[in-house]
Amino acid sequence: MAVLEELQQAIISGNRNRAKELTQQALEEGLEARKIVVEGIAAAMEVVGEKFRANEFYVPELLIAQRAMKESLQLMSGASIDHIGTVVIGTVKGDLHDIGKNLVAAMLEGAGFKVVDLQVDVAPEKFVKAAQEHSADLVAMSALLTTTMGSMRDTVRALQEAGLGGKVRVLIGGAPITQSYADEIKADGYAPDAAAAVERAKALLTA
Amino acid sequence: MAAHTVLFHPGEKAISVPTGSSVLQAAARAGLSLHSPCGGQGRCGKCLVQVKSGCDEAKPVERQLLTEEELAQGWRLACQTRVVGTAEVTVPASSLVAEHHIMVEGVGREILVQPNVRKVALRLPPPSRDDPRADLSRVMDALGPGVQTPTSLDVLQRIPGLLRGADYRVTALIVGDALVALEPGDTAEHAYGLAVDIGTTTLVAYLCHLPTGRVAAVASELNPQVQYGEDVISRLQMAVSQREGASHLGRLVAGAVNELIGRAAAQAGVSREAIYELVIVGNTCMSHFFLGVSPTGLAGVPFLPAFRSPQTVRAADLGIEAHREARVLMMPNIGGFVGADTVGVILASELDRAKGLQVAVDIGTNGEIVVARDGELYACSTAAGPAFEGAGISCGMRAAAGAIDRVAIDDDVSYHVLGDVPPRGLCGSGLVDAVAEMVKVGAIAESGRLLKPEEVESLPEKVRRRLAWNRDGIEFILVWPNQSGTGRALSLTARDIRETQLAKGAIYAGMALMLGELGARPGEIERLLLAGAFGNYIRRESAMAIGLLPALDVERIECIGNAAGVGARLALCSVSERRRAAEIARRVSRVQLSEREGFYDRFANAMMLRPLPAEE
Repeated sequence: MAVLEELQQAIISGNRNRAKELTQQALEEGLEARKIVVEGIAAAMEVVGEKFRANEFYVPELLIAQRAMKESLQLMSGASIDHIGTVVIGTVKGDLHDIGKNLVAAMLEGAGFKVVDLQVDVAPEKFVKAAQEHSADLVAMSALLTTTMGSMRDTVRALQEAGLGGKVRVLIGGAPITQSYADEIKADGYAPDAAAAVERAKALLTA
Repeated sequence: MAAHTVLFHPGEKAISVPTGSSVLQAAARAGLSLHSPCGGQGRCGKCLVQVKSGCDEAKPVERQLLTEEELAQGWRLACQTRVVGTAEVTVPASSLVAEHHIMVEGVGREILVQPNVRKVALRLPPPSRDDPRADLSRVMDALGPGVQTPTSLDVLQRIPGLLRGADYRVTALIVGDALVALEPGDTAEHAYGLAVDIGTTTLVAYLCHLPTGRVAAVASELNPQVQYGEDVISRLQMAVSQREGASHLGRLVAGAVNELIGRAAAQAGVSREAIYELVIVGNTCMSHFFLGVSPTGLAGVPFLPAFRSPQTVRAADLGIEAHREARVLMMPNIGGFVGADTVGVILASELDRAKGLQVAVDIGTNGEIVVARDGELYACSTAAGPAFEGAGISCGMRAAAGAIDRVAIDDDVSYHVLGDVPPRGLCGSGLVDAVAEMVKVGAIAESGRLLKPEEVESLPEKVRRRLAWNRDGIEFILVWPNQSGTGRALSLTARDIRETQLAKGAIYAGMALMLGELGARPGEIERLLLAGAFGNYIRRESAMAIGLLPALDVERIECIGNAAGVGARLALCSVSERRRAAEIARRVSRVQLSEREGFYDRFANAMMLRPLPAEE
C-alpha cells in the first residue's frame, strides 16, 4: 500500500503534518484502522527502533518520530483497534523523570499496545489498582534515581500480595537499573532503552 | 561673634565659620567628609590635616599622637584644632571619606562600594597617668560606638603585645559591625575579598580590592567534582549513597578554591592572608556540597534543600586558606535546584527592578532561566547538560587558550581560536556557531542527522569532504589533523549534535513553558539576557539560527557575561546589594518543569535545529 509506506516515512522522519495527512487519506481510502496501525505506525516505530540500535537515530529523532506518531494515532482514537496487550506504565514514587518513560509508552502504543500512563511519582498501590482496573498484561516501571529504585521492589511485592503475581508481568528500566537488579527483585524483564522495551514487552506477552 | 574664613586645599573650598569652631566642623560645613570614627574625641588619629595658618596651638592629646617633626610641619587633628583667624588647611586624601564606585562590566551598572569588611588605620594615644585606659578600651573608643567588642579569645590574647610592639599605630579589621582582628601599622589598603562562582562544570574566582571594589585578578578552574558525574544528579546520588559523600565533594571544591586563591593572589602580587571574606554563588547542590551538607531532600519529590537562607561560616572551618579570621558568605538559594547563582544573575542584571517582559538565560550545565515581568519573578532549572560549557562534546573544552570560539562555513570552514594558538578543542560559543553554520550550508538536516556525503552533492567540495565515516557513523571534521594543536582531527560526531539538540531543546522548552505560564509568547520578550560560564560569549545570531533562543530582533538580546560571578562581586563589595540578594531569593517563584503539563511536548518540538517558534 503506497499510502502506508509513505505514512511510515513521514513518521520515521518526524514529519507530523504529513503523517496526519496520510493517515486521513488512508482512512478515506477505506483502510481498516488495525491495518493502518500495524503496517503504518507500528512498522514505522520498528524501523525507528532499529535505527536507534544502529546509532543512526538518537533521543531527538525518537522524540520527533513519536510526535508524528501521536498525530496519526489521534485520528484513529474513535476506531476500534485490536490491541495486542494492555500495559500500565509509570515512573515510581518519589521520582519525576518521565522523558524515558514517555518514549517507552509511545513506542509501546505504536507497536499496538493499549497504554495506561499513570505519569510520575506512582506509589505501588496505584500500580496495583490500575493493573486490576484495566486487566493489564504488563506493568512497566521507570526510575532515574538510585534513591527511588526501591519502590520497584515494593510494587512487585504489592502485585503478588494482590494475587496478580501470575497474571501480570513486570518490566523495568531507567538509567540505574540493570538486569541483575531485575533478577534480584523478581521482575520479569529489564530493558535498557525504548526500542528494547518494545521487544521485551512483546516477548513477555507470549511467555 | 567673630567669624573667620577657612580655605581648604585641594579643591579650593572656602567657608566662613564662627571663631573657635573646630577644623572638623569647618570641613563638614564646606562639604568635606573627614574620617572620625571616635566621634571627634581625639582618640583615633584619623582626621589628620596640615594647617598653614589661622589655628590655635596643638593640644596635649595631639602631642601624644603626633611626632615633633609632624607638628613642626603643621600636622594636626582636625577635631582638636580650633579656628582663630583666617585659616588655610590642606586635607590629605587618606583623611577623606572617599566614595568609590565601580562600573560593573557586562551589565553597565555603577554601584557604591560599601564592603562588609573594613579596615581602619588608627593612631591611638599612648597610655599615661592621665590616660590609664585598658588596652581594649583604648582601641574600642577609637573605633566609636558602632563597632562591637571582639568575642574571639585570640584577639584579646594578641592585643597587649600588638599595641606596644606597633607603637600604638594599628589597623583594625572590622567585619560587619564586629572587631575581628588587629594588625600592626597602617595596612588599611591591604584588604581583599574573593567572589567565587562555583559552577557545576566551571569555577571562577574574582579577587577584589575591598576599599575600591576593583578586580585585582581573575582565575578559573574545572570543577574537580566532575569525576563523580557531569551533572548534579549523579553527584547527588553519590552524596546520598556514600558515607561522608557530601563532605568529600565539599573538600574537593575547597581544594580547587584554594588553588584559585593561590593563582589570583600571585597574579595580584598579594598574600592569601590579605583575603578577609569570600562570597560564594552556585546552584543549590553546589552550595550544599561546599558546606559539607548532604542535599538528601533534593533526591526526590518534593525536592527540598536543607537550607535556603544566606549562610556565614568561618573559612578555616571549610579548609579554605585565607586570613585566619576570614569569613565565607554562601549566598541564598531560591528553591529546588535553582540556587544562589541564579540570585547572582538577577542581582547583576536587575531583573527584580525591570519593567516589561524580560528573560535571563544562564547557558550552562543547569540552564537556569529567569522570567521577569514588572517585578514578578519566576525561575527554573532545565538541566541542559554541559555541552555549552565544553564538556560532554567529544572535542569540547572550556573557553581557554586553544579553544575555537567562532566558526564560519562558506566554501570551506574557517574559525577563530582563543589565544591565537593551534586549536585544541571547541568551547560553547564555537559549538553553537559550528552547528548553526552546518545547518546553514546543509550538512545537517533540521532533525539533527548528519547527512551522508552522497546526499549532499551540492556542497562546496572542501566542505563536503569533511563529512567522513567513523566507527559509529558520520562525523564532520572541523579541523584537519595537520592543523590541529593535538595532532588529531577535531570533529563533531552525530552524538555531539544530539547532545547539543538535547541541551538547547531543554533550554528553549523551559523558556517557552515559563512564558506560557504568564500567558506570554517568546516574540513578546523585550529584553533577553544571555549569561554564561566565564569567557563564554555565544553569538546571538547562531543561537537563534539553531533554535536555542527564540527568534527576536537581535538588539533585544544582550550578552551579560558571567552574571552569577558579577552578582557575587556585587554582594562582596556592597552590603546593600547583599541585602537585596536575600530579598530577591525570597521573592522568586520556582517552577518545577517536570511537574508541568506540556514540557515533554515542547521539548520534542524544541529538538529541531531551526529558528523557533516554528510557523506550523
